[in-house]
Amino acid sequence: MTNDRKLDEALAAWAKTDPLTRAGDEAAVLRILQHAETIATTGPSADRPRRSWWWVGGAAAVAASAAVALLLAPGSLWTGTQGTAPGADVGGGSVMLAEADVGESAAFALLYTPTSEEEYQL
Amino acid sequence: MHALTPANDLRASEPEALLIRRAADGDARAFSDLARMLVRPALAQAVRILGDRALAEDAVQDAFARLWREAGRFDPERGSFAAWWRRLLVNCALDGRRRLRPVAPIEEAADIADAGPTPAGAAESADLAARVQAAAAALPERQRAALALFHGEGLSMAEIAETLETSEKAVEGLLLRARATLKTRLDGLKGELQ
Repeated sequence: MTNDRKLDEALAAWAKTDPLTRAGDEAAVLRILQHAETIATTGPSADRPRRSWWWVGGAAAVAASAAVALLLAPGSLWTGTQGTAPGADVGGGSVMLAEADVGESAAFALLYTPTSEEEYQL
Repeated sequence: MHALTPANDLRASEPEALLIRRAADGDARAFSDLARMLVRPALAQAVRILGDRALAEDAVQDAFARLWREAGRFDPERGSFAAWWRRLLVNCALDGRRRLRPVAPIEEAADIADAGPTPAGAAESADLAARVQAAAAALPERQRAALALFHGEGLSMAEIAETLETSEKAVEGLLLRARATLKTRLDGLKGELQ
């Protein structure tokens, strides 16, 4: 039976003996180095951002988002007036809205927005 | 239970730390110098963990690609370069995609160290190493990695746990299971390999 001392010796021999003794091992080392050199010379290194630039970029993006959100918010702090709801068309064609009690045509009118030409003809 | 104590403690990594800083700034020459310093021990370790030369070469290439890409992430204030590189290398070796390929058969593993015309002591050591490599072919990769880190690099349980991204208790379990399997395997291989 293999005792602990023998096993320790065997494991130390295994873990410390250089296993790169075969003929092909030097070639493998050279291939790895060549690969590493190729990565370093052609890889995406030059343009990779340093950590400090990530912080600067991130902070700028957050600041810009906050500024845009404040400017677009109804009742903006700077204007002090009631803002226009998002998506509202203040200068374009008008929308025909039906009264609640105008009968069957109301459903169509609710869905249909005439073009400026149609509106002129009407 | 057998006492598990580290074999040695070799962690002088200042030149590597300087080179990785330069590589992080895009210095390809510094990276090549660093690769030349690291390649042999890295390949040897990968061969021990994976038990297959082609897989080991593949793993070390992956590790160098990651080293180049992530050079800027190395922070000397959070630990030594040696520990950081060891973790990166072992992670690449234990990559799940690589595990799909079979490990070297026992006959090939037995041929791992060519004793050649060496002094008697070295030849005996090489023979022992060959027998363990053959027996270790039956172990899961994580167990082989734990054995190589403990007996080869002399790391503590905590350092191995950090490298393998697990707990110290789990490392102890890996080592105990590996040793138990190896004892049986080495007894069985004694006659087979002579």
